[in-house]
Amino acid sequence: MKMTTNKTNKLLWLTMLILAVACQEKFDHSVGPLENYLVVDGLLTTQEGPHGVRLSETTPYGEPRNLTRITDALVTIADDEGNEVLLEETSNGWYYTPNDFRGKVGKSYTLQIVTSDGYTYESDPQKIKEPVEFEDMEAEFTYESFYFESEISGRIYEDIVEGTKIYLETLIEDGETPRFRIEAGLYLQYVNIIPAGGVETYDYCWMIYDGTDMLPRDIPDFSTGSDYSNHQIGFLPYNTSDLLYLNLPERSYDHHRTLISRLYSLNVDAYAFHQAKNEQLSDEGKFFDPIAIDLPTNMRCVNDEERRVYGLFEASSVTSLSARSHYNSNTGEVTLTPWLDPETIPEEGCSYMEFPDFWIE
Amino acid sequence: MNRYRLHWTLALAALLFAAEPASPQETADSPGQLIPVWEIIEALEEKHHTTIYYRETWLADEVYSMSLLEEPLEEAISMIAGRSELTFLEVDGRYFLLPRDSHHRQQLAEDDDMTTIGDPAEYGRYARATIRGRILDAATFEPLIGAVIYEPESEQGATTDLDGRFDMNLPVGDHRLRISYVGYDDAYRDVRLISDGEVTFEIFTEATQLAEVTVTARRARDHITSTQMSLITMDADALEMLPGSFGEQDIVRSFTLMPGVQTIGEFGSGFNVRGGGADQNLMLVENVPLFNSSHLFGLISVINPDMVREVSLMKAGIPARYGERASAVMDIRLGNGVDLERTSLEGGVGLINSRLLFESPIVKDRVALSIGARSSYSDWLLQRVPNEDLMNSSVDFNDLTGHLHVALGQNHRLTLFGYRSYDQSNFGDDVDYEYYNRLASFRLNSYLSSSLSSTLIAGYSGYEYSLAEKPEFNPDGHYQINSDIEYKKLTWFLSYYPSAIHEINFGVDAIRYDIAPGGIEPASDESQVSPWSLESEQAYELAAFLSDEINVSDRIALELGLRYSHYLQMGPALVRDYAENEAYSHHTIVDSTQYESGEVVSEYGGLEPRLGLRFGLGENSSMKLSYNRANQYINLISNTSVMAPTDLWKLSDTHLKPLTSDQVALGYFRNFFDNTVETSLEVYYKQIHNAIEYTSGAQISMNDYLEMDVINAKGYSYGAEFFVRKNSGDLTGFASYTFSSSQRRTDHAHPDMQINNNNYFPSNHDRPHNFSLNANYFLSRRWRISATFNYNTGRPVTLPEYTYQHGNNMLLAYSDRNSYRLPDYHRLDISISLGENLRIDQRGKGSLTFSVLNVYGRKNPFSVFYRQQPDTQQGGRSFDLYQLYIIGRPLPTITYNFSF
Repeated sequence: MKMTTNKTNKLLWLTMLILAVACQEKFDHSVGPLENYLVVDGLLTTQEGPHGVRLSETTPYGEPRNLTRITDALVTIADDEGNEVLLEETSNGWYYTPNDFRGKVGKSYTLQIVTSDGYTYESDPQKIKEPVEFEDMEAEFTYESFYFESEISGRIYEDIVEGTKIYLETLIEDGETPRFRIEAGLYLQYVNIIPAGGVETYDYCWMIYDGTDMLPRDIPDFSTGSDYSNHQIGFLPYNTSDLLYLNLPERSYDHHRTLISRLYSLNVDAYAFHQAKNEQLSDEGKFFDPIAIDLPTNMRCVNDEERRVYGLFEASSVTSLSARSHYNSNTGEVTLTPWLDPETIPEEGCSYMEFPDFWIE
Repeated sequence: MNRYRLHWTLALAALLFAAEPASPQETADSPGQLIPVWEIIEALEEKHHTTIYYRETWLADEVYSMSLLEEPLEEAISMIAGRSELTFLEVDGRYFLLPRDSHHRQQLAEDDDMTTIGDPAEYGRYARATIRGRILDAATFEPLIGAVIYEPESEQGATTDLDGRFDMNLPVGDHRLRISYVGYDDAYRDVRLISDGEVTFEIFTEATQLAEVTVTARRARDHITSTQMSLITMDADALEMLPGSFGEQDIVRSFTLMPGVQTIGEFGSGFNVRGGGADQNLMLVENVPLFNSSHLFGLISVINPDMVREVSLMKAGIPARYGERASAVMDIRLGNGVDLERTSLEGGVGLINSRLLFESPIVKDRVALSIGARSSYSDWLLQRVPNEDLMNSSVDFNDLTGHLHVALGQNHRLTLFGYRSYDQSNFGDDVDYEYYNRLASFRLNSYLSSSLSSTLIAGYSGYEYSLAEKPEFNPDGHYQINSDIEYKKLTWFLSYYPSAIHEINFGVDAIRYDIAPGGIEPASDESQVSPWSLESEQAYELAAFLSDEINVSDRIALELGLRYSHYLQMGPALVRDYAENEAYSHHTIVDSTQYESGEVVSEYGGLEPRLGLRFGLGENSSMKLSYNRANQYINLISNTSVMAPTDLWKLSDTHLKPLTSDQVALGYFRNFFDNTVETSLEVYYKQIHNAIEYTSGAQISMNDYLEMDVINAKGYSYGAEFFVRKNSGDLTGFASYTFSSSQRRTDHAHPDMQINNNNYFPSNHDRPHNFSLNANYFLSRRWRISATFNYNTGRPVTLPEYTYQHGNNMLLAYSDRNSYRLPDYHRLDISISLGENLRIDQRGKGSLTFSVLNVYGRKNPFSVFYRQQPDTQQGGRSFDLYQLYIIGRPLPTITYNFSF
């Protein structure tokens, strides 16, 4: 568990407030001309294909963010039986498997990349673990802090939002809790009113907002000694007005407090990467600067061992689930109802003058 | 003092009964009246409320006109001194009449009558007799401890005890005794020994013509004449001359102005010596180590400066009786011994905190008590901040120090010490942090014979912290983490002086460590947190040591020492075995062994040779060489560049090997202008094995698999330190410059356990250039202005070199460890002080100090951190780097000190 989080920050601010002379300023850090390196962002799952690998380059720090894609590379995925599939570059930097190719639980896969500058990169064999199984899914009405930045003053404010926390209860086997990551989002509905010759017509639209790509938060943080572990997989704001914290495009959404989740089982390499990624994304604003968290990678350059490469080739099994929550303000109870298989719902779209099958009225 | 007044009284009485009529007299009111010199002196003392010390036999049999009383005091004294071919010295408003130079001094001593010891009526009755003597400082009459008395014909010697006393049995007859003491001229005394008797001798320091005693480090010649090198010693007076921190003297910060000593910045505990980590310094307070040396996250030292008598920092050539740490030893001594003259109360009031010191003799010359206390009151500031959370927050500390000296007869001295500090911070109702230091020690010094003394020390040190988080909207998750360390030790050693040229010390240490690295428990009734804790650690560290300081000749002195330390990690403990040459991870665990309570889990030991050599090049210069090896069996686990309050003390174990350092140092020391200017040049080279480094993203707290996140590394440091100090005159001060390098490297086969591909990289404490300048100028005896300037190369940091995209996230890729540096650090502080009133008979006194830290508002970055910002141009978020300044603008402080 990290100790130097916001808690220590607050204490340190407090101490320095006594002096009233401490301050922060932007740090001018320029790195000069640097060679760029390959970044691999690949995901192979047990779901139907195609499965993609994005190849890009690093950008020297301080330069404008510019996602330079790597094109004309030779990208293949091989399994542990010697079967190999060639990925096709369908758009700049994106390489996809055939539609009928999918990963299988228990098998190991290796990604190989040969770039046009002659470097060959290879991943460690990535074994796909069993899908995440959970004993139960629960919810409770609670509060969560959101921080937002004022566009006028630039100050950071905290707001407390009412909502529902959703947990998965998983079985601890052999002293280990299952390792998985979550892509959790909201199912959002909205209606576009289209004037047509003096008559209003309606476009019934929806989108699945991918809110989080995260490791689950263990609630409570240290729950050893039990046969079960609880993992928070999402938070559903109770009030539609609180959706503004999610930086969504401005529309009149209705979310009916519906959670859409995909759970990706993680092997050792993938878990280490995502854990370090979360650490880096949350380790900001620390006064006692820790040793920098460089993300581990399961890729290496075969013909130049010291050449850097970043990113991850992940091989996972996927569990999809969705749930709707209902909060009874009189009793304080939260009811959780499983909803549709989210794989049957398109990411977004509209239906003119007709409710889609999955529309929630 | 009183014995000279007594002589005068007796002399006057004799005069009154003398048959001879006095010379023609004028009335006492007549300015032209001539009176004896001692009457003039007494009149001057009364008029100017001062005390003048002198030896009757030195004063010529002169008479003076009463009109001398109308002259300014120093002119009058100068005239009296001049007629007797003396000079005078003023110290703290008192005046001492002294011989002008050593030759004159010796001559005066030799002109004295031979001292008869014993009863003349028993002449010829005994073949041998015992001299029971005492050696005092001729200027202050304080007993000199460890002075050597030697009779060359019989080759017999003795050493003074804590009271300056000695016994020596000699054949009856005439003897010439040689009295030696470091920093003093050798003195010769002729005695006629008839039977058992007592005698007191006073000897002089070598410094004569000091106009003002200002920065009083150890007596100026010590660093030429002593074998010990790389030593910085400051007494209370010297510390007072150095810049303070937030209105009071800060022991640790003062030493960071010295060559080879650095600190990370204004925040954070500890200090670094010659490239070593802060945990490689043994900070002893009355013989027990301190585990967290600062209040308020590093702003103020935990040591009450008013109670400090002397602080010594040994950077190399560490005597054999010290161990436990690899880099340096800071030895802090408190209190004023049993020689307290009167009850006093003193203290200070500052912006953030105040302090109080009470000292009193309980039984005169036998029992003395000192009690000091400090407390902060910063809450009043927070309550005025227009923010609800901050108004409900608090940051404060307090500490209490007690010191009791007891003289048990003539031959035993007992010292009892106790200390407790408490720091607390809370932010609203959410976060609560506390930490405590507890120290206690017992020391018994025994004078067993004229050549043998014994020291027995029992000590205890404890440090604990707790951090509680109780966010209002997450009652399920309310938790508290506690951690603590306990240290107990028993030390016994003998000091033996078989002759004037040997000083032998030998003894044993036994230390017990108990560490509870961390435990979690629910912090409220609603909390769902399950309590659990990391396995505790316990170990013994045993040591035996022997050293001999040999004065080979007048020019050559040698110190040979050997220490053997042995470490035993005790169960219960679970030890995991990992696959060879693999990174330590959950997947490379091949086996584990459970050790029960009382079983030895791991064991280490080794010899620690200590060598010191001094070669005198002349009266005022010498060269020194030292070598020492040290083993360290406890480390502070901290993956930040400064000591943070939540850092963890960790004992050596199966995976974490003891840290070992070997250091060789060479120095040239020279004084100029009658020892008023000291200079030194030292070079050193140090090798370290099994230093601790950390993997990327290492988890320190509540980590049951800590060995997966720490890496053994090795390294080296080298440097050259130049130092010059002016001790006397109205302008005093010092300048120091250090050039140094401190590098580390890992040495593991597996890439995940390598840093920078096992190449050398700068350690966190590598700061090649370090310059300090301190100047004090006395505008008058009470007004003083001071300035201190400090410059350091910026410390190494690891900064991002690239950004890259993964999923929807923009991530950072970092440089090799410590490839960049923060901007250089420099700062100027000034102060102006009005000292206490110099009237001796005035009880209540006060002094005022106004200071400005960081005069020109230098923004010295303390740390660099990143923060995510919305990327308005491209959507998503981007990283920006920020730097934090602790004191980013001029900070005025004012402190009032008082004493009664």
